Amino acid sequence: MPEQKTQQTQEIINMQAEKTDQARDPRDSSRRQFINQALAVSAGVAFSGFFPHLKAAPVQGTGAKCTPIFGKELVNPGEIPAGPDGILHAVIRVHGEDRLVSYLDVNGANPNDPPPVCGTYKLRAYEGYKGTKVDKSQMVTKPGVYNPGPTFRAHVGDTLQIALLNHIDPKDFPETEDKHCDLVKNSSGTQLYPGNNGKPPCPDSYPDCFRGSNTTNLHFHGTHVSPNAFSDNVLVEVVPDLQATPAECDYFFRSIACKDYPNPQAWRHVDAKSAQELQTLVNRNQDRLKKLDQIQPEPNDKTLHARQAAQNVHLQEYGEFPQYWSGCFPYCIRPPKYVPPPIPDQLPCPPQPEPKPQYVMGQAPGTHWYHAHKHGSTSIQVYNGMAGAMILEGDYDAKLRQTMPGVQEKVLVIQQFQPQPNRERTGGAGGAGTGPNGFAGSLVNGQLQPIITMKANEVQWWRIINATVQGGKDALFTCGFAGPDAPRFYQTAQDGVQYHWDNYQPQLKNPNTTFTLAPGNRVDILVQAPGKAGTATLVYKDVRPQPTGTNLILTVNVIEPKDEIAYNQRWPQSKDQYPEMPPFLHDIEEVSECRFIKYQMDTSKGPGSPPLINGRRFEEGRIDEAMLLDTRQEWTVQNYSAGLFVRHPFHIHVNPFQVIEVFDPNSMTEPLKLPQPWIWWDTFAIPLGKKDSTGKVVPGYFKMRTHFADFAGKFVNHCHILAHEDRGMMQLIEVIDNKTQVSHH
Amino acid sequence: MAEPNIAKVTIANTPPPTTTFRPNPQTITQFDSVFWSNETAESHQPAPDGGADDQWVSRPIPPKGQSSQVVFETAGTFPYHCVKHPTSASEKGVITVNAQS
Repeated sequence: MPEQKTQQTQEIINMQAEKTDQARDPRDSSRRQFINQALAVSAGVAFSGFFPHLKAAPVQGTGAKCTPIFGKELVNPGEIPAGPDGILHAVIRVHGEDRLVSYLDVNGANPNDPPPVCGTYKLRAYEGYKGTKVDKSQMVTKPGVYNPGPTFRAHVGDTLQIALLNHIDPKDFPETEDKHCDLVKNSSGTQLYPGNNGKPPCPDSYPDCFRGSNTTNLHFHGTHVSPNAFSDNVLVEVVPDLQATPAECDYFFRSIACKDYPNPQAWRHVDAKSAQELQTLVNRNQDRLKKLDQIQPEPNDKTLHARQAAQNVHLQEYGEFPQYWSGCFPYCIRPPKYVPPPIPDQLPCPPQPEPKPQYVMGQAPGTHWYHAHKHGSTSIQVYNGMAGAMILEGDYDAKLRQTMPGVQEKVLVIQQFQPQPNRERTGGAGGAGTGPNGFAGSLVNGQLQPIITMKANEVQWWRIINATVQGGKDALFTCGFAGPDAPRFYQTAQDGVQYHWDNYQPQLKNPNTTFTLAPGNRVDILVQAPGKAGTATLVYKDVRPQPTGTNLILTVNVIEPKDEIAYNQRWPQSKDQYPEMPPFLHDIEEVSECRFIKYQMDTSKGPGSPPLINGRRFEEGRIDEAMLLDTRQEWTVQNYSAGLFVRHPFHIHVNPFQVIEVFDPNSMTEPLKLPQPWIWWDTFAIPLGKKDSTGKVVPGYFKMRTHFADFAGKFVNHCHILAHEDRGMMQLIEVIDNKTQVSHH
Repeated sequence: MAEPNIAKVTIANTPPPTTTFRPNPQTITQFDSVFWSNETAESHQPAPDGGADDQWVSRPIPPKGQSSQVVFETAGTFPYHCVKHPTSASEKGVITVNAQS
């Protein structure tokens, strides 16, 4: 520990020097690395002298007749692109499937140098199909193997029509009812989860507990789209219906699902024909829900679906969109293309009807993703692999491709596996990091420690998504290349929002050495191979020592080209080669309101303590934060957790935010105000709190600014350690429409 | 202290039509969990010998179904049987729990 302390002290000194530099030159290069460094400091991270160990040949897991997918060339996930008509048609079928999973066996004979092994597990798994049917010839995901869902690739302004078909057979996973917490017992039959008598660990109760894992939905993480009706509506729950087909969804894509629903009442005010079609859909859904209790009853709850149907009626009476749907749900999202307002002196003459910008904000083109988000089962479903990449292209991509013709693009979906919800469910000490319950090793596109081959001096474009439930021990992956032949990299985007040139340019002289990924984060990096053959590894450093090799994400193998085939060796080196920041992503200079959001786990009560926001857990029927549409706000998001390594990653739906200030009491004496232009995020790991000499917690925090633009409705902010979200570390937000039909006559 | 593991026991017809628990014994470490995955066409319900039918698994595991996890907090040997087929000689198993070092 003294060594770590010395290292931290040195890092703090470096950072203070960096702050002095900032005062001198707000465009100084090193300050651009601040956030990575600040996160790394408190994690005690340094990559010097940190060379991970390459594993020996894979072996079969105990009793398993399988070969791990280990050390193979990385394969991008299968893609579903939008068509030339600007519409993406896809079917995501969720079902129970036996899939081979590769992992490092930290519970085997050699826990300190665990070998790669594999096993077959029954998972709730995505099948991804191009088009509108379940047609095996159009399936782009790999059957029988743990892998993410398909990558959706579209342009901003396109329409994504995704039929979510829930074909999970409840008999495959019979002990997870929706209206009760899942039970975990010990060998004596004593209930361990949820905790008894309100005592920790895990004194969970409905609805904030692990439960109902055969019901699902989708969240389109990073999209600026409506949270209502058929769009990014995480309040919808799609229950299993084995008889449902995507044809049912397809009909509604062509009728009502893809209308605009910019506010929560819009679905009630469509034209007469659409209203009739919508009511047909609602009625049919009601009938199917009621029938499910006969043809496909929950093992221990024969009236569940009838009650869900009754709840839908109740919601409609109050003007709310129905919450429970059977079988197939037609998700339709349209990430808006920003249309700038007309410049007055360039208005046409004679005057034309003035085109109005449709949206204040646009969708930031970039690397986004989607995943299951059903409260109570998000963590197990994402552990099971229910996530995938969503790449929304725009001017950013076009410019980078113009600068780097023929550039190879890698999509890296980093996931962690475990067959059951994590240790919080068994009363253990929270998430188990990258080695949850012995299933160590990060999977990239389902592959364990894959290889990416690059040619000497080649520059590739990597889109990296942290689709893990937990991340590292402190929820972060602090990543860097290790080895004498380590590539350079230049970060061009964070969380699917491009860097401003002023944040990109300093890396040209002083490339970063690390980047950080909390669960939910994405980075785009341009990776530049060295000029000669060799190998390097992409690794992450954890806050606690881990078994050898479990921190290795992938290996880079650099080869000398043996042919004359051209490959990209360019990267943006001047402003004219770099994507221009679109106007809607300029800094939020003014705000009308400030708020404090307090994330907290009372660690004095031991592991598995209740996860709280502003002292409360998520509650059905309660709005926690409300704001008017089109307001700009500044939030101070605090972390009162101290003593554990829990840097709760704050995530908010619909609108990204800019981080303007960070304070980590474990490494700073004063808050650091970040220089403009500020970086956009949609997920940010809150620095840990620290107990002072009296035992009082000094919270870590960050300040962010956001613009609640374009879409009124209900959505959430939550901890992206997804087990915490399942257990109630989530707030329901309502953005209230700033328009009314009331007028004076 | 090592992270607790979750171990799988497969209920399979090996060789058909004999139903067995595999591996048997399943050896784990104290505080590890076990769950059962039923690969047969019948329901099964593992329960400890001398214990209640629902002591480990609340209800029979349907064909192709998977049970919840049971946490073994104490070291020892835990023989068990199938509640649905109590007379079957092959549907017996043992969970061996080694003390945590």
